[in-house]
Amino acid sequence: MSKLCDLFFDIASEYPQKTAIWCDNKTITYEELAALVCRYSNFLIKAGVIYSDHIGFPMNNSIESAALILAAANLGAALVPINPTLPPEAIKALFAAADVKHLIARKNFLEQTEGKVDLNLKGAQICLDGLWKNTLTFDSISKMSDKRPVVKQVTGKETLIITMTSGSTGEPKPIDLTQNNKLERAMAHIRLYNLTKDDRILAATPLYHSLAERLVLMPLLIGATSILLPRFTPALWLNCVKDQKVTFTIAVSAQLGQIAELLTSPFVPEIDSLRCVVSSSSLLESHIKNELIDKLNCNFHEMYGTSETSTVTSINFRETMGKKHSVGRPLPEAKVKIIKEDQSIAKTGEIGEITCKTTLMCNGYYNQPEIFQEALQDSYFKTGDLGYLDEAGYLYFAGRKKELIITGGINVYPQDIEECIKKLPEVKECAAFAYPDNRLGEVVALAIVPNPDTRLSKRKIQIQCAKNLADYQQPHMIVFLDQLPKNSLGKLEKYNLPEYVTKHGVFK
Amino acid sequence: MTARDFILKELQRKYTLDKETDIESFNYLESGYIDSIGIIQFLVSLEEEYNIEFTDAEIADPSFKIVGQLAQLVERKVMENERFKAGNGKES
Repeated sequence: MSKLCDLFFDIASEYPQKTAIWCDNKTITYEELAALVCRYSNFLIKAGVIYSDHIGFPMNNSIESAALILAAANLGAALVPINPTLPPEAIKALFAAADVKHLIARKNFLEQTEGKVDLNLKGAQICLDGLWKNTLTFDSISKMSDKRPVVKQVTGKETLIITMTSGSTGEPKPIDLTQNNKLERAMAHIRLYNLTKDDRILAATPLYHSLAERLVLMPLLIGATSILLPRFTPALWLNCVKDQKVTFTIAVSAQLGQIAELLTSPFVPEIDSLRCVVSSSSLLESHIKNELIDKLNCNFHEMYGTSETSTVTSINFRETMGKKHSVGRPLPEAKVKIIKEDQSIAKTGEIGEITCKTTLMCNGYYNQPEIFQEALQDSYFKTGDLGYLDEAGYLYFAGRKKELIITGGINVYPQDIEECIKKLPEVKECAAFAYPDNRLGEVVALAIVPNPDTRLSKRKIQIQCAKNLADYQQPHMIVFLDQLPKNSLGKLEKYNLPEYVTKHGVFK
Repeated sequence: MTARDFILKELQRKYTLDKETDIESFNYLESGYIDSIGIIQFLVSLEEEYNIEFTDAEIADPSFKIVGQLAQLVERKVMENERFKAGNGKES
C-alpha cells in the first residue's frame, strides 16, 4: 500500500496548479502546499523533531494545520491535536498520557498557559504566528528549503494522530491512529461516497477531531479541493457552500439542525452545487432531514461510528424511507455483532451492545494496550452503544450504555465535570447529565446536592467550571436538589435525572 | 489589562482576528469567534475577571454581541461596583 504522504506528493505533482485548500479567503495550490509541507518538514528536523516523536498541537482550522499534519506524516512523527480552550492542567495530563515531546502553538495559547502550568516538554516549542519569548518561530519558514526530506524509516505503521476520548480530569484514553489508519479511513470514505478530483469537500468541524482531519485528507489524496471552514455558524456554512461551490460534506447532526432552521428563512442563498451531505454523530429528526433535502437539492446520507472504529454503518435517504430510524448497513470494511448482557449474540430485533470489527480500527489506546483489550470481545470493539439489527442487516440505535453527553457532536464525559465540581467543599454530591437542547442536540446539565449549612451559588460553580474545564464541557443548566434520585441499592439513577430535576429541582 | 484587551484575548483563543477587523463594531457571535458551545465559558471568564455579573437583559441585548459595546458595558459595571463599594465604605 502507498504511504499517505507519498500519495499526497504524487497527487501534488499531477495537479500542481489546482487549488488544494481554501480556508478563510486564502487559497493554496497543490504545488504550493507540497512546498509548504517540505518547508515545515525541514524546519521540524532542524528544530530536533525526529522519527516517532510526538508533537502537541492546540489546533485550529487553517492551511498551516493541514500542512503540519502532512509534514508530521512525512517525518514519521505524530501530532497530538487538542482543543485550545482546554484548561492548562488538563492539557498537561493529556500531553503526559500521549508522551508529547514538542509543542506547536499560537501566541495566544503560549500567553494563556504561561506561568499556569509546566507542560514538562523535553523538546522544541514553536510559535505558529510570530515571536514569543524563548520559543522558535515559523516566521522564517519561507526561507527553509522546499526539497522534500525523505525519512527512510517511515512505513505507514507509525502513529500519526493521537486523539483523546476524555477531556480533562478523567483518565484520558489516547486513541492511536497510524498513518495507514488515516489513509485507509480516507480511502474507505472516498469509495463510499464516490468522491473524485472534481469534488470540493467541506470540513466545518474542528480539526482537532478526527472527522475534520479525514475531510481534509480525503481531497488531498485524490486531487480534489478541500474547503476548510474556520468557524461555524449556520450562516457562515451556507455562504461558504454557495461561494465555494461545495459538492460534498460530512457535518455533525447538531450543525445540520441549525442549518435546517436557518433554511426556513426567506433570505437564504440558493444552493445548487451540493451533490451529497452526510450527517454524523446522531440521527436527524425526519422534518430536519426533509427540510435539508428540499432546500439543499442533494443526496443525503447518515452514518454511525466511533473514534476507535471510524464509520461502522451508512444509510442513504432513499433507504431510510423504508428503514425509518436505522443508522444503516455496515461498510464493506466492517462487521457488526449485537452482544447481550450474558455475552451471547443477540437474535434479530433483540437489543444489546453494538460491537464492531473493522479493518479501519484504530491501533489501540496509546500506552494502554490492556485497557483497549478490555474494550474488545473476539476482536469486536464494544462501542458502549445499544442497538439491534433487523433481518436485512440494518442497524438501529437504541441508546447509550456508556454515560456520555453529546453536545454539538462532541463527546463529553460526565465524570470529568463531576470530578471538577466535587473539589468544591460545599458540594455533597453531584451528577452531570445530558439535557435535550434544540440547537446542540444535548447540553451538559448539572444536578448538585450542597452540604448542609453551606452557601453555594450558581456563580461559584460556573467559575469552577470555567477555570477547570474546556468550553464544550461547561454546564448550560445548573439545578440544586435535596438529594439525587437513587434506587433501593443506593445507586444513582442517572437516566431518571432529566425528569427528576424538572419535578424536584431548583433551577438557577 | 483593559476590558477591551481582555475580551480580545478571550475571543482569539482559537482564531486570530484579522488585522483589518474593525474591533469596535465587531460581532463576535455572527463571525463564529464564540459559538453556542463556547459562550458560557466566555461570559463566566469575563464575570470572574472583573468581579461583575451580567443580567439576563444585558446578555439578551444585541449590543452584547459587539466587542466595543461589551467592553463599555464591562467598564460601566466595574465603575458601578467601585462606586457601590466606596458608598458602603462611607456609611460604615
